[in-house]
Amino acid sequence: MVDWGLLADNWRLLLSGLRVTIEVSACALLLAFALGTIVATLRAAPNRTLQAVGTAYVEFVRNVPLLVQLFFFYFGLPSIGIRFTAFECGFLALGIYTAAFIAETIRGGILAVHRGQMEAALASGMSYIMVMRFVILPQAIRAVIPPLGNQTLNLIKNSSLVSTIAVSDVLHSADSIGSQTFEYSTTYTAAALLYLCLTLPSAYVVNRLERRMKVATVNVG
Amino acid sequence: MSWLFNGPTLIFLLGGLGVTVKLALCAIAIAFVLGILLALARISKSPWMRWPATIYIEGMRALPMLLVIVYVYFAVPRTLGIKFSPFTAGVIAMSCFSASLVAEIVRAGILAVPRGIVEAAESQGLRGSTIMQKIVLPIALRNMMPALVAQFVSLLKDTSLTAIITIPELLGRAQIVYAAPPFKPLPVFALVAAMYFVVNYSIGKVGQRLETRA
Repeated sequence: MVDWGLLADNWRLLLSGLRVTIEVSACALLLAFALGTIVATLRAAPNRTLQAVGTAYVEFVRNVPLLVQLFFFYFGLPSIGIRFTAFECGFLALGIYTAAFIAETIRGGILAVHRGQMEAALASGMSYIMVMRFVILPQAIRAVIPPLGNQTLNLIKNSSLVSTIAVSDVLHSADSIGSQTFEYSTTYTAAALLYLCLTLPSAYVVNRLERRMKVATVNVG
Repeated sequence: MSWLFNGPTLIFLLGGLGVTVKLALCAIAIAFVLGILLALARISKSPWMRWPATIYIEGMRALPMLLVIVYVYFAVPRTLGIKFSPFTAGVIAMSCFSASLVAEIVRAGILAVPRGIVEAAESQGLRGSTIMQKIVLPIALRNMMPALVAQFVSLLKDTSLTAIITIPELLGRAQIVYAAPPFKPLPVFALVAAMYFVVNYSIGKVGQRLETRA
């Protein structure tokens, strides 16, 4: 089922694919965290209009398939003169999509911080942005580290979609070797193992964090 | 815009939405049955049941769904010497993948049923399998409806991946529409995104209603 000779000949291509997968995921993750934090702050803002903007972003982005958004960037935008490279389209779409989920996660954390802290900080003369930046967000994000880890995992898995717009990630490398040799079972199995190498250790860390956080809350409560 | 907003084109795209929903319904139905079996195996006392189920669930969850789809469509037929239609391959791949996620939802639901209910049933002399079937699973299923609805929405979005293996669902048909004159992908994607949004948002809202009622 697995042709080891073929893998021995092509391991460089697969490993460079792994590097691209990591690169695109890392870029998208940075974007998703930055954008997600901003959107979460908007959704928790005391102003109705800002809330509506945040809500519209989250609801629209997470109810439309990532592949549609990716194709929108890659095939749609050039027709009105906006051009990105395939890699840029990949990490932009992936980052914007994941940001909606991260925003919801962080909002959960913000709501879990006691209202009194916000009121106390505002009463002592800090602006809303300062309260968020120095008082609420540090606690909120700490509280939701395990679910943020899950979103990161989803992002790594979703990064495989960039193979459809010819970004040469793991899956795309496996595709191209497969289409030349028709040994799809070999190349896809290799790709699966490479993905497992990325995701299983991350899943383990997330699990450990989840358990530790649970213990922490039990002790406090 | 009359090239896009005309009867035949819209009916063609709505037909794609129909295929999308059909795919998702088939996949969630199979994933639901498989998921319950996997969850029961994972909480079983026998290691021969527990370990394979755990490995399946954790392994499958850690893979990208697109990889599972192309694996079932391109790799499995060559290895086994059988041939799937794209639709069959899509349903198999999506149900096998979603089963691992549904299994975790079911397991969490079962573990959340209060221990006292199980003990009360045991004290009445009911057998373990009867307790699971008649008491624990019905309670657990009702509690996990919101999570299952969320899973269904996520599956509806993921059906778009089957456009890659040439299933003519909504995204696949969108590609056919903009590949014809006047070759304008942007309005087509905007319309398709709106269609996905309306369906997923409404189902999501129903799910939230369930959550507040439970």
